[in-house]
Amino acid sequence: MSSDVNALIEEIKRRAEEEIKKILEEAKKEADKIVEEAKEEAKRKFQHEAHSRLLLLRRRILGKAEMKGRHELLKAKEEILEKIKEIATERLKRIVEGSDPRVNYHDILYRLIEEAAKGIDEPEIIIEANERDKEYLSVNIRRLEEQLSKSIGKPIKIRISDSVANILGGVIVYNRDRTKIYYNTLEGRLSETIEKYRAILGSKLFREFLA
Amino acid sequence: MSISILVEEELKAMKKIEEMRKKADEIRKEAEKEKARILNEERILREVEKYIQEQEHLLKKEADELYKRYLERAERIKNIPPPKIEEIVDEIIKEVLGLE
Repeated sequence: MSSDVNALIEEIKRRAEEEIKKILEEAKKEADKIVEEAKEEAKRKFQHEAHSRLLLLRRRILGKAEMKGRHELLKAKEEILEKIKEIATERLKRIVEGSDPRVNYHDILYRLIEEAAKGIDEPEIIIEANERDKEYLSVNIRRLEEQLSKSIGKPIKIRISDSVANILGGVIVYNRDRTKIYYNTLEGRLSETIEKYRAILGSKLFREFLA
Repeated sequence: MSISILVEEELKAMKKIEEMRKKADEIRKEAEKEKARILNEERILREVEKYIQEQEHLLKKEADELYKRYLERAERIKNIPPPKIEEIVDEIIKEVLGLE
């Protein structure tokens, strides 16, 4: 064979190798792309499915713990409020009995009547109280009438109800036909104040101990 | 003579190229098979299930910690010192009696 023929044969082989290399490279590139795209799509599907399920699971498990925890916290707060109420009730009992030298209960009683009378705004009021206060009011009725008329700025007549209220202290005041009733009992005021304080207590008392 | 040798070499080259094309098709087919395996719904769901189980375990631990923190807070509330309670009672009593 001449060297020219040999050269041509080598050229044919070289071109064939080049073509083969190109074919294989392209095929591998395409295959890699197919697999990579599939992996990406699978990842998206996985994330989509896992995300929604995880969200539900998280809400269910942590939500339940949060609810249980809040319930415990609420129970503790209620316990403390109940304790405060108990102590306050005991203190009020002592005040009503006159065992607390710092407070004159009769002055308080008058103020409760005055507040109720102003609320009722009638020329005649009927006062209902517990046995002890009723006795005090009956004895001092004229003086109270005078004091009240002066404070309100018009004459006012006071009558003491025959009924005895089962209350710690304070009064229930109403007009003659009972169309207007003003509850100014100590228990009522205490409950009202505790309710009012509930929110304040939350921030004032509990925050300090929850920090 | 030379021409027939060249034609023969050319035919051999074309045959090799043809074989490589078939091999290339095989490579693509294999990739398609792998794609089908990767995108298999059941396989993905199995992996999701496994992942969710792992996460559930972690979330339960987190939930326990969360509940524990609430219990600790509740305990701190229950143990509020008596002087602090007395202070609040004083304020309440003043308001009940209209002394403010």
